Amino acid sequence: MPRSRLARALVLLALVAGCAHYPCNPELKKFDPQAGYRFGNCASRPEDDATFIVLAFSGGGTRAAAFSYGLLEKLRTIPLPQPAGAAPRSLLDEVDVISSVSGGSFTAAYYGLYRDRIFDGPEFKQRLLYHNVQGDLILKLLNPVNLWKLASPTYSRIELAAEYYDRHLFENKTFAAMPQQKRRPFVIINATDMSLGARFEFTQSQFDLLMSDLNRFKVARAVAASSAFPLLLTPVAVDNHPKGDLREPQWVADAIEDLERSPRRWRMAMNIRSYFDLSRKHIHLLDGGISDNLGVRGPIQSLVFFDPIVLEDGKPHPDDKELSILRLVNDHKIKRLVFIIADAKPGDSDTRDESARTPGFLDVGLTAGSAPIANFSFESVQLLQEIKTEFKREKDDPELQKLKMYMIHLRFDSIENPHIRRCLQGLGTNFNLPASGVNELRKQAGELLEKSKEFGKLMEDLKKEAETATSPVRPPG
Amino acid sequence: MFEYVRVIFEDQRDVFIAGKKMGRTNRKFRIGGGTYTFDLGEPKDYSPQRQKALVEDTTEDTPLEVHFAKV
Repeated sequence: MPRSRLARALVLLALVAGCAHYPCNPELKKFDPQAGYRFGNCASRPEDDATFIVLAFSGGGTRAAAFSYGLLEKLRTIPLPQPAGAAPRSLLDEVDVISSVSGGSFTAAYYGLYRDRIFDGPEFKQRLLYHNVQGDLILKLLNPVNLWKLASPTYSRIELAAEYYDRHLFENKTFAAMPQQKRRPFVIINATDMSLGARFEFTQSQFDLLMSDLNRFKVARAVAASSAFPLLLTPVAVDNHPKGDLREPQWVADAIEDLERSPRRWRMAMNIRSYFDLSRKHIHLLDGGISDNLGVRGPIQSLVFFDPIVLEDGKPHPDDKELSILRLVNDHKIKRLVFIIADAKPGDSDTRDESARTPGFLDVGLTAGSAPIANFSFESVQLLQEIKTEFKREKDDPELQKLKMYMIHLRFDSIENPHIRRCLQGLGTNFNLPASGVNELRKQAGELLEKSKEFGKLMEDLKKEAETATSPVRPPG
Repeated sequence: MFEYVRVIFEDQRDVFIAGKKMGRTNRKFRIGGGTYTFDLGEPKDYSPQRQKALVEDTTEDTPLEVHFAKV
């Protein structure tokens, strides 16, 4: 090849590499605490809050995506007990919030965007659950054009993954497409702010902290961030724009005083304050499982603390649109609070301890990463249990209105058949599972729900109420 | 996990915590422990205009009572 042509080709390649940059999240043109992707903008009927259902989808690659999908499939088939004459609804219609991390975020995001198409259309199954997504990502990585783009310091492997998910699953949709559904559930996709080690939610209130417009942010990129498995994938970068005259929420100043008295609240306040730190120009987001591998911590926070993320612009905003389960409880809107956790946690290694051989570098590294995550998930479930016990112990007080809380934890440990249990616990955390594994995950999610004693109590309670209630006159749907 | 608060005022109206609605006057409500600033929104016919209080060591039977007087 003549030298001049070679030189031109090298310059062109250098330009390609140099220009490769992650898509910048757009700046918010006008702060409006009423607008955008917020819980209060998912319309609901007044009676919808009486039974408030939160689904939490754990991490775990396709294993988690399939398990949470099986839960949705099952909920769709169970009629909601209602008074005679009421329009038929399923339990799935009654779900108010879905909070997800990592693999579970694929299911949550797809359902949030497309609703019944996740069941009736072939795409979600063909392009994710039963597809070798991992193989496609590797091929994309080995494409010479992409390899060259990866030479840029501001373009990394996760962007290839995000582009893939965008094209193959999420059809270039942004979060603007989510509330167009005009009804719940409100889907919260969670990642981890790498510098804080704290949850990062893809909601407009979190994006207000970046002075960025979530409506113009691709859903695929949020899911990529949520599932950015450390080392195999890279963090998603988002820009933290200047806030101008906007100030941190009012409660932050109070909570900053609470280091000794309420450390959790203090930490939340410090995290929010950090987004006003001008040196934090770029936020790096990793797999949501690092901060919460069950997807429950956000709803728990919303139930225990009243600290809505609403920036101060000097105007009163008494009616915010933030998710506050605590406010709904205190307003006596919720009679029954239901948490259903689809926990796709794999089993522990059952062969390592058979050998005296020193475990290898990879084994040790994976354990160092996964054990704290699993322990934290365990503690999260215990925390929910303690909250449930506290509600149960409350007296029947008209001022408080006694609340019934149900916690339904679907996990492989509960599978009675030892062969099936070991099979599902042994499925890897990746995006390429055998079809038989995916089928069994879907099936077991439904069976575990049906067999759950707590779920049985919930259905009994709903039936009793339906039998004693009179049917309101309302149009179907 | 929860602390208990009752905001006392001669009228029934919304209670605000750091400028956001939470609960009603004269009715106990639950909240996570910590320091909160309470007020009663508009109209500003009460005193003091806002109160900061530490909510801790309460029980269902002994909630923290935050008093506002009508002016």
